Amino acid sequence: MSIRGRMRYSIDTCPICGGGLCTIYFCEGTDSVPPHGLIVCDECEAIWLQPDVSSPHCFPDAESADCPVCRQPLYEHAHPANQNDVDDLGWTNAINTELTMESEI
Amino acid sequence: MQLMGRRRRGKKTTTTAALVVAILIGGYSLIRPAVNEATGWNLPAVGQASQTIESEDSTRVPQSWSRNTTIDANPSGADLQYGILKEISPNRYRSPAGLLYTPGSSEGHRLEHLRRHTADMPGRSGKHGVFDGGMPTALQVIDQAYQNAVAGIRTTESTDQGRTIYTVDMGTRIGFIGGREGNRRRKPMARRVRLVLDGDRLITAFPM
Repeated sequence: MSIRGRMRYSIDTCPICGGGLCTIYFCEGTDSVPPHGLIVCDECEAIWLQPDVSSPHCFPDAESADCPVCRQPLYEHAHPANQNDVDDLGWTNAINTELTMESEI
Repeated sequence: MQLMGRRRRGKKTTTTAALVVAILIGGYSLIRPAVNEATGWNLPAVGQASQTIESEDSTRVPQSWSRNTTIDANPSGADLQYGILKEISPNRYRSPAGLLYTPGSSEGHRLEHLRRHTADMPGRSGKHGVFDGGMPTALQVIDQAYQNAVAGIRTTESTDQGRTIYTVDMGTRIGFIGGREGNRRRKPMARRVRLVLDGDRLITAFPM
């Protein structure tokens, strides 16, 4: 699904690979797991559960990435968060405005 | 006598000209690395053909790099993806050096993710490494970088929860730094490749 033209809210550059943007994702969750936020590096796919890249991180499976919280397919159940999503997550203060941009894909 | 005088003057002129040329060549050789470093240009060494790389040309392999390559790619490129990758099962490709390109990433396939690094994204925040020469060249450079990394040639390595991160100095220009920051700095050249791998699966690769 193309999200070209939508804003991508990022909090930092990736401390793991050095080339990625750590972008806020909003995951829909499941019946038993409420919606939640993730930080995902758009290069190495490192994932943080908090909007803080100094907190623990993990990596999804290389070929079938699942959300580490609800175990649903990551890129089907989660999407780069829009402004409302970020507000709902309460992560607005974590946004780095210099790293926030319109999506080019 | 007159003829001998003319010959002597001619010899002297030739010697002076040779001296001037030698000084110019010496000076050029001395300042060339500094100019390349400062400007991101890729001035050729003395006696070396021009190595200007057109980043928009998807078929051209940088001459300076291709001279050093040891990859045994099928020269005809028949039945190979981008002339280098062999499809080993549906949608899964193996490179000559042994890297695996599989489905994955938000783009759906690692090759599609890699394609992002064959063109600049001037609006992207921060840096964005771009390979010269499009997908075929990028894949060959990555394969050579992987071979160098495995052999420990000009490579730094770190591991993190099963991911291996190599930074390989290729010793010559392999691309440039784009994105907002790269464009602010007038797209400086890149000669290092960062590889992020999961075993032999490529997660991402980009010039630095």
